[in-house]
Amino acid sequence: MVTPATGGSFAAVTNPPVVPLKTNNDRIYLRSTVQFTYVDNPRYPGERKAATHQYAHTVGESDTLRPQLYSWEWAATEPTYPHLHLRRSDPAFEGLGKLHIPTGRVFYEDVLRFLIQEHGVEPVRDDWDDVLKDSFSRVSTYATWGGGRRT
Amino acid sequence: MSPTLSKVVEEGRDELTPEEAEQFADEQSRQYLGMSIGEFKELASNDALSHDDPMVVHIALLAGVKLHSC
Repeated sequence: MVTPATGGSFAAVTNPPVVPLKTNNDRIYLRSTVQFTYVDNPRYPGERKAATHQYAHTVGESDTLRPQLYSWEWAATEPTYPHLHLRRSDPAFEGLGKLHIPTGRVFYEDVLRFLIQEHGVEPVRDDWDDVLKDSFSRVSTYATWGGGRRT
Repeated sequence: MSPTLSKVVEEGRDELTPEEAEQFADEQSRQYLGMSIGEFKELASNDALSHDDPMVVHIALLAGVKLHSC
């Protein structure tokens, strides 16, 4: 779902905001927020594109996202590099969650693929792999940075 | 699901109006952080938000609030 934020930006938010995901033997929860604006596409004159300014993809063990498992973030604040918070605010992993572990750019499609392949999240459709490949292909075609990888 | 979201989903829309977005941000801040979006913005401007809660960054992105750190 897309909501207008301030300063001409928009936020794309998972709907419902926290999505319950069924795994082999449990549930985990995902919330994703991507803040973006619409800009002229420098590579395709006359066309417009969505330009991502910040994102947060967070996975937790409850619908409050706590304890948090992973949070991939890139924001217009320090540190400005894309990073991962692992087990933030989890007392069993004291201090670990405060670390800003550097990553490349992490797309929503990356998170979905990771959760399906590594966490055993049950996909809602049989052709999920093709759908994610197609979506990632489109995103990486127009991404200004971070989209150049093997799909 | 919040009243705002319920209404939007029922109507089959996937985009909020600015007024709905403001209400949605306030509902989300109250639901997950126990404060109004006005209080959230004030704490953010004073760099007084706890970054231990994974919801903080999501509410900030939703409301277009710049955090001092994350």
